[in-house]
Amino acid sequence: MELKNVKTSNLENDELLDIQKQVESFLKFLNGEYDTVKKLEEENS
Amino acid sequence: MKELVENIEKQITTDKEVISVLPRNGIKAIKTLLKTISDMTEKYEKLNEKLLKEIETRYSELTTVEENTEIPQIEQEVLKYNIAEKNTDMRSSFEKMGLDRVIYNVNGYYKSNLERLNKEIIFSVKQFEKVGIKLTAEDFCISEYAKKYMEVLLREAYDGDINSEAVKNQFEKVYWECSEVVSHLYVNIRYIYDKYESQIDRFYNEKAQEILKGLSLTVEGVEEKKAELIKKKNQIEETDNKIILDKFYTGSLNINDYKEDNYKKIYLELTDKDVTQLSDSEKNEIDENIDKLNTNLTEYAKYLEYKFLVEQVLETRQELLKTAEANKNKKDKKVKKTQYELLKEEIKKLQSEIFKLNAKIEKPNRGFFERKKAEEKKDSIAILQRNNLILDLKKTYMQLDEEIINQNILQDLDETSSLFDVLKFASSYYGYMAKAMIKNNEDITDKEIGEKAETIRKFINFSNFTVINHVNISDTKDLSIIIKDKYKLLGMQISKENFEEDSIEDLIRKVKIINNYNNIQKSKFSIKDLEFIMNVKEMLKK
Repeated sequence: MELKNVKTSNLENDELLDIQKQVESFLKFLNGEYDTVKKLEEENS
Repeated sequence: MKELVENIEKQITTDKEVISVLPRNGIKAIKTLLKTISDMTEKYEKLNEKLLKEIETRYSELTTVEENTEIPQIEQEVLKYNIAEKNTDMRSSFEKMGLDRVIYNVNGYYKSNLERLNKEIIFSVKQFEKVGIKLTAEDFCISEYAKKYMEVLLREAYDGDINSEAVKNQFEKVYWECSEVVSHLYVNIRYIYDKYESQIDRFYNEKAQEILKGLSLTVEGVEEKKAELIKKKNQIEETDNKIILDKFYTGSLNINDYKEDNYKKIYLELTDKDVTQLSDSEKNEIDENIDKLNTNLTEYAKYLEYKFLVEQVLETRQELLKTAEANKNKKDKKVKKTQYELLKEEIKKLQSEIFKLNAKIEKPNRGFFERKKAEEKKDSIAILQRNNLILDLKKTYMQLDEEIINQNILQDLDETSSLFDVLKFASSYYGYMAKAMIKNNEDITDKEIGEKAETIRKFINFSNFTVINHVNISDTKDLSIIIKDKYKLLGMQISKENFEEDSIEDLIRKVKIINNYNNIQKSKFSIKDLEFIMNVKEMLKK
């Protein structure tokens, strides 16, 4: 699915909060992964 | 929209997997992985922004609630009728002026401080002014000490600082000349009231007539109109959007109590009914009873806080009735003067003796001429005699206060009086109320007495009574049993045990939850809306 096409207005209040929480947590995960891989890059270069 | 949620969740899981399976060996693979993470982060940040914007819009829409303009209007009306009631009720002018509180606080000043004493004295001066009597230091003529102090206090009060250095210095100076100066001020305020009593009574009578004429109501009509307005205000407030929201904001209501499961559970506990199985009409009937029970319990809980006052009055009344009964048989045929009349006579006699002595006491400064030692000695003796008489007068005034209350207990209260009548009676006399509070809790401070007295008077003046105004003092049943029996008949599952000291709070809490839940349904909010608002509020804190 295309994330940019998600219609947030179609979500119920509790769903909206739940999804936002999941997205926020995934963003944290992505930031962590980025830092880890960045370190790997430095070690390999 | 379950499907959309599932899709987003699936997408997150897939993307997570992509990140974990992409190779991380070799600089080229690492660079590709970094690019993938960055692209993904950008996409999710955009989604997050969109989600947050949607949350903000919804939160803002939900929490934008207009203040109900009708409530302050009704409050103004209530105040208007309350002032009318206070000016037309049965209390004496002394209580209407608020001198009962002044006198109590001036008498007990040693437990308080000079600032409070000055505040009370100036309050009394202002109250006299309100009824058309402008006081000057000359009116504080009971002794040269009272007059000297009031000269400075009134001057400084006029300049706006009743606690200035000049006032403090003057108090210190006068206090060392006569340590009973505050008793002199006490007696002086009472003397001024006695002097102008008929003029003050006339002022209040005329004012009462004018108010009632202006409102085209009787005294009872004013009371009824006020009660009606308070009831209307309470009803509006129960379902008012802003008030409901504020209760959650301030933490006076907790969203977890209003989860549907909890509501159903408590509903079943209180009514023995499964709320989901009730027809609309059945539910309406039960909810109406819960609403009434809630009002009754709130009143009952407040009443319990002040019950000691009612008990004190009823105890005094029993003693007075016993004494009256015993004296009935002893009475000789000759009509004797009442204790009240005797005390009034004694006060007049003492006042006259004090002023006779004051006339004899010469002024201390007589220009350039030295006074003869013998004359000074004569003055000192007269001052001493006069000071003793002032203290006697103070004692007599205090006896008179007690006598007035005893007399009024017998006159104003009978077997048909309600618990409300008794509570209202007690709250009308500040000194009596204060003494009962001290009897109930000997550690209470004067400041706490003042605050509590105000709360009691507010409770009396601004409540819509439905229980204690219907229960007579002759009723032998306990108030809790009366409430319990009524609602038991209506099918509520409440027992005597629910009213026990350690259970009553829980019962009140549960009834409140059901009633608030029902009222929320009548507002613009659903429980889900409120859950959302409170969750977002928590989010915003982080």
